[in-house]
Amino acid sequence: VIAESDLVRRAAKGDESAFLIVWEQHRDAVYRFASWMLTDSSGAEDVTQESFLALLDHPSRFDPVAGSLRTFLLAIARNFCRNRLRKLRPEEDLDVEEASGADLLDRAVQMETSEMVQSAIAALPPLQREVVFLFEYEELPMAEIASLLATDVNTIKGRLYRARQRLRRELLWMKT
Amino acid sequence: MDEDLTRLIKSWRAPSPGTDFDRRMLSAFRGRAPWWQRWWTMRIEVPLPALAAALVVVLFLGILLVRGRFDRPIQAGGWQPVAEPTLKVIREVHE
Repeated sequence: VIAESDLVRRAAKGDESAFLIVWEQHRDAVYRFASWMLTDSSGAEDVTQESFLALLDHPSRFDPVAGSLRTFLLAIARNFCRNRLRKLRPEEDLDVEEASGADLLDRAVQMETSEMVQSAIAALPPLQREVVFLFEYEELPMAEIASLLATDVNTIKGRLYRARQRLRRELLWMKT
Repeated sequence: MDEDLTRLIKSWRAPSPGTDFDRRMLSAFRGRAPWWQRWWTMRIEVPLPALAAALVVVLFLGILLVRGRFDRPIQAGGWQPVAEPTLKVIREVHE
């Protein structure tokens, strides 16, 4: 078994087979995360590519002691997503909820479940959105999420609580 | 209630990436290599009929070149072979 740090180092030096191993192992997680954050598949593809290229440009920044390669790549992708969100909606506060989801619910009446979830996710503030993904999909422990997002566990718990409250309100209401 | 919510959240599926997603990434990866490395590992795709036609042309030109070399008259520093030689036998040499 080749260590992740060795694979990254080899890939950064141009070893295509090493790169393909890293790519195939983590591509889906990074792409899913970017899709979740941006709700745009084309932007998600770009962010995924940028994240892997950033890893290759600075392989020494990956420290296997601090966390797994997947977590590291997700952290890179998070930065790219935030940059994009800021460019798209510069006035938006990343942690402030929008006034109401009522119009969203009106539009969602005829939607399929997956589309409903997509709409509800899109309505979440980005900082809450990323916490839900990392906790529910990646099933990362709170401490690892806190480390990845460079904050403390209580903040993560607060964001997750608010996100779940909002999703519960919208999704379960839509379902009934 | 919470389980319902978790199930709903997990019902979300990311849209499928484009068909050239992997290829784009690989080409970006290869684009990072230095020029000499890219040149060394460069590949081109040529349709078989075009390759066959190019080989026939090269072969034809090669044959023309070789035939042209053998058909060319020999020129040895201005000396030409005698067209109608006449033989003259010299029996003795007077010094």
